[in-house]
Amino acid sequence: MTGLISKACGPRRSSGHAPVGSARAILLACGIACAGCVAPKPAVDLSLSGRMLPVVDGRIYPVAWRPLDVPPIVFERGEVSLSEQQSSMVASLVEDLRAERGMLVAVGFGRDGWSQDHTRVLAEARALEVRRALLLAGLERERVQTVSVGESPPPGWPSGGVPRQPSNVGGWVLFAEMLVPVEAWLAAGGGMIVEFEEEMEDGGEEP
Amino acid sequence: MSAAPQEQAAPATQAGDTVGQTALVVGEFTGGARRAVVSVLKEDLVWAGLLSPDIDAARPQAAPLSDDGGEGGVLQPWKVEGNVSGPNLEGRLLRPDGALAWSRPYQGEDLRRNVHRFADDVVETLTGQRGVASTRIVYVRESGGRSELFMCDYDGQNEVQLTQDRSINVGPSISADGTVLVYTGYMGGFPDLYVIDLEAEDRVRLVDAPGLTSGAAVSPNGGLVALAMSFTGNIEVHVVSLSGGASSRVTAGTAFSPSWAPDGRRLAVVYAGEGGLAKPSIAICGLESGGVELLGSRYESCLDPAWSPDGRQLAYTAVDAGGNRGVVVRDLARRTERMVASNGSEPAWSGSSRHLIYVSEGELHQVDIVSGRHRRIARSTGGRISEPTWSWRADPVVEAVPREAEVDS
Repeated sequence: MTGLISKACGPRRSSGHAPVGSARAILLACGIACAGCVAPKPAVDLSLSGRMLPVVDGRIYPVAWRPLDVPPIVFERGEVSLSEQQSSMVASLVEDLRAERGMLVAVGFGRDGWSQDHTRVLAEARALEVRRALLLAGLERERVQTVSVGESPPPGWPSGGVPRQPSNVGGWVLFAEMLVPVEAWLAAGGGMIVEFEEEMEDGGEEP
Repeated sequence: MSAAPQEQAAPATQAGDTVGQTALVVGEFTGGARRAVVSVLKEDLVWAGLLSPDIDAARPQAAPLSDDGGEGGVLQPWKVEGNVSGPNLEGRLLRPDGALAWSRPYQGEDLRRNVHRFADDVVETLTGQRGVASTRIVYVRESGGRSELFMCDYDGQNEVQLTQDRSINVGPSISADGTVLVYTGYMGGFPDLYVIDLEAEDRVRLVDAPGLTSGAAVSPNGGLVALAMSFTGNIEVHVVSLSGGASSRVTAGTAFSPSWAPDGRRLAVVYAGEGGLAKPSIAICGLESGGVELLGSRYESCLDPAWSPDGRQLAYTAVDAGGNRGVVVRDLARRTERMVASNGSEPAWSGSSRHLIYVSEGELHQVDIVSGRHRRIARSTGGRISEPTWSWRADPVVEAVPREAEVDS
């Protein structure tokens, strides 16, 4: 058994989420399908499912994401199903990432679920698997966020408009299917960037 | 899980009688809207299994012998009749000998719902089990990239939009008594668990844990919520109190889509192995024992379990090797599976354990698993429908209407 604070609070309260120990975290969604993006394709396909990336109205949308600001408890449970080649790629990525600022976003897709709930769970499971692979490869866990992507765009994450520009773009967008440098995503002209509300120092309190 | 009957009359038939074997006729109704009343009432009684849709309901029909029956295998029928005045209905149930069993007023702004309550009372008297015509269904409609919660009567009428967040609201679960609704809402940018008090029309956020929060289900007594969360790094089923507090993890390994047993001591969940990517199957988890029993199936995958209120059956979405989906009902004692709705998914039970609602092609359908009759109760116009949930008992607000003129037999 494990515990988690759940609380009743007033309606429509702002989320107030912020990562622990990160200057900024970024989350990108490509404006077009990745296969058509100008970003360089990875040398090794990290596909876990062999399926197409989900595209809604020509865009990819993150649906569910959250900074994992609670120390993970059971990430090491289970086996990571990446191949040896893929694991090597991840290890190499981790080395590169250590020179970068910002957070890493692990994105999972679940458009091929057999039901609504299964779709959401499948997306989250894939994101967690990628995250688990990164942690096992030695990346600091507080630098890895997860994103679950289903078929629908999230509220407040518009399908059009001008995305917010980050002041310190760095790191990578890590999809379950491929790795793309953040700069390349921006250069592709599409996408949406979500920044955490406040910059925080290690050990800082949530607002 | 039906409401305790307010009167105890010997059931004239047993719940579960097949259509066409009941001894009930719809008699004379007077008043301006009598035709509409009779139409709604007949439909309610047909779906309760007390009236055949294939005969002239104004004539007595053959029926099996019962304790209240006559001789020779042909019964004089019970009869319903009444008076309509504006939205109000005076409903009467007459015994086979013509004596008045009871007469009750049904008052309220909505004549259709008054008729539903009358039908439920008739069903309760004749079967000993509360009817489901006054219950409510909640579901998701998706349109334009947003999804909102809607509620309608059990027959799809009187649809109202519950949320207008211009957001994504998914995975609703209504409590057995129809007073509390929980769901996953993204209006804060994260998948949080919200609770709506349908009587007070109040909403609070109950859980805002990191990671996924999905597939919440209210316990039969209305005090707990089971849901899938991933804040531990795995997607597992947890139980939280509706009054807040710490969560308790129920499952180990990836599990989701919990459904409560009516005793509130077990959960049916979808289990997908350690990594969550394995073939999903149904498992039964004991909250106290911690034991997990995987249910075998002849289908490739099984999802969306729904435990029947009588505790005897599980309905779920079954997927065969060819990827074809359908709603299957499993008899838990006999360990048999029966397909009841091809091309259907996401089933939810009525309080009678006789009816299921399910989704097919973005529309909401209903099936009587005794007669095998299906009907579409909500179209996809206005947005594709998914994830229906059905209250087991009638709206308590409606039920609170007094019955001063009630005449007990």
